[in-house]
Amino acid sequence: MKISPVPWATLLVALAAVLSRAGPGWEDGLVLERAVASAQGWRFWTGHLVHVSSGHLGWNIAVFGAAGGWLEMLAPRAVRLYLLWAPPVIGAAIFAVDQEIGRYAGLSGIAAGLVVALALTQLTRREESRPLWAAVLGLVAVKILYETMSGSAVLTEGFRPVPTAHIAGGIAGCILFGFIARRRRSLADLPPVG
Amino acid sequence: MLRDSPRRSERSSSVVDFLYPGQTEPVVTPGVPVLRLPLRVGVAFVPAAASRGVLPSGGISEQQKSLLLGRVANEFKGRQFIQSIEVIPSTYLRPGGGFGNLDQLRGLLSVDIVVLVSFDQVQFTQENKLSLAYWTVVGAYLFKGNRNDTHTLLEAVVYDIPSRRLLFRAPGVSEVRDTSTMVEVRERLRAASLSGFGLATDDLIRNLTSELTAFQEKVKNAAADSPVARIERRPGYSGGGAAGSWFAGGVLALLGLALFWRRRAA
Repeated sequence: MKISPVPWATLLVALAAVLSRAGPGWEDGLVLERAVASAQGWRFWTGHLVHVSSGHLGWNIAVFGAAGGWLEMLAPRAVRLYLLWAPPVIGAAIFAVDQEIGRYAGLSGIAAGLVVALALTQLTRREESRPLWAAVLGLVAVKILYETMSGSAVLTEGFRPVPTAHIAGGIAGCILFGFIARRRRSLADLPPVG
Repeated sequence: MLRDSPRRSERSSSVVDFLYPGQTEPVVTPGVPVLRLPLRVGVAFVPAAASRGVLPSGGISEQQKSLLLGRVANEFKGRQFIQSIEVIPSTYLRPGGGFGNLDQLRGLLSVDIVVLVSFDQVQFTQENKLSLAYWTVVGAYLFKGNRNDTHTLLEAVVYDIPSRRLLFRAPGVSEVRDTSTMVEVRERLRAASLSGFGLATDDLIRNLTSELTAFQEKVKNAAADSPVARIERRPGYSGGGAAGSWFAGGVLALLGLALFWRRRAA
């Protein structure tokens, strides 16, 4: 079966995230909430679409769109499957590790996974710039370290940053990379982008 | 009928009189306040002293106090680190009730932080040259021979009840100038009193916002060995995954460079 190279799944998720801010009070029905998550399982997917401010949404969509779109053009099937299994896995990891968190919102855990998977995929391709993709991985590591060290000490204006989301996203990204690497006999066979 | 000296009236309340009744020097409690996020906040006017002066008392009713505090509360309700803001009626506070009274509020209303608002309002009225027309009796109805001034000061202090520590404070001031006929003086002063409280509340909200931002910065930047406040989080606190501007900017720049590099190499 021929798989479309157009990153429609990434676009669809980005559009859903934008639409989740369209109606007043929609967030309450969509956000990932520990107290009701087991009875309302959809929140494990929809919680990632909810954002607390336009700035929160904008920066998350920018990273998600760029990394997700790029990787979906390289490995469409793996990325589309990732968008199905990663949200509940990341959500469950957050609730399991961070017992204080009652509500979670934001696309960046999933986006972090896509960035990690894209960087790992590109690092294994001969025609790509390795220092640049290594720098992308380094940036993800710096962000997680910074949030882990400073996040709990800051009276944040919007909400508490959850480093667990990015750590879980990073691990999910490594698993996604494993899928991509397994499906392709040679990563050099991946189609060029750009 | 004509007077040279202005007539004056003053209404006020004092946080110091409420928290430290009968003490000349307030006791400063050492220790670092522990703020458990999200915060549960109460906001209240401290009980007022009796008004002084010769003018009819304009004053401010409980309902009006509640409306003003409601405006302050609404301004800060949206913040994610605030779980709730309760407007506490003055009837819950005793004159000179002190921290014992605040402890009762803490138990009764489940608030950890209290914003105590005190006020001082002074009103003057003085006849100007047009008041000569008051001798005609009809002139007392037609000519604005009275100049009325209303000066209002609101002062909000934010206390952490368990540690009895002052976190920050902010003032709000207003000045209302007006002229009126002699028969309108009472009515105009009462309106100016309310308007003065309203304008001072606007100023108070602005100043509270900037003081809150400054306090957040102080908490964030305080040295580890001398913290301004310790932050803990209650179970159930909201959290989120945020790419943030610097990370998103960095990733986008690197992806852009990678794309550029790829095209050049091709």
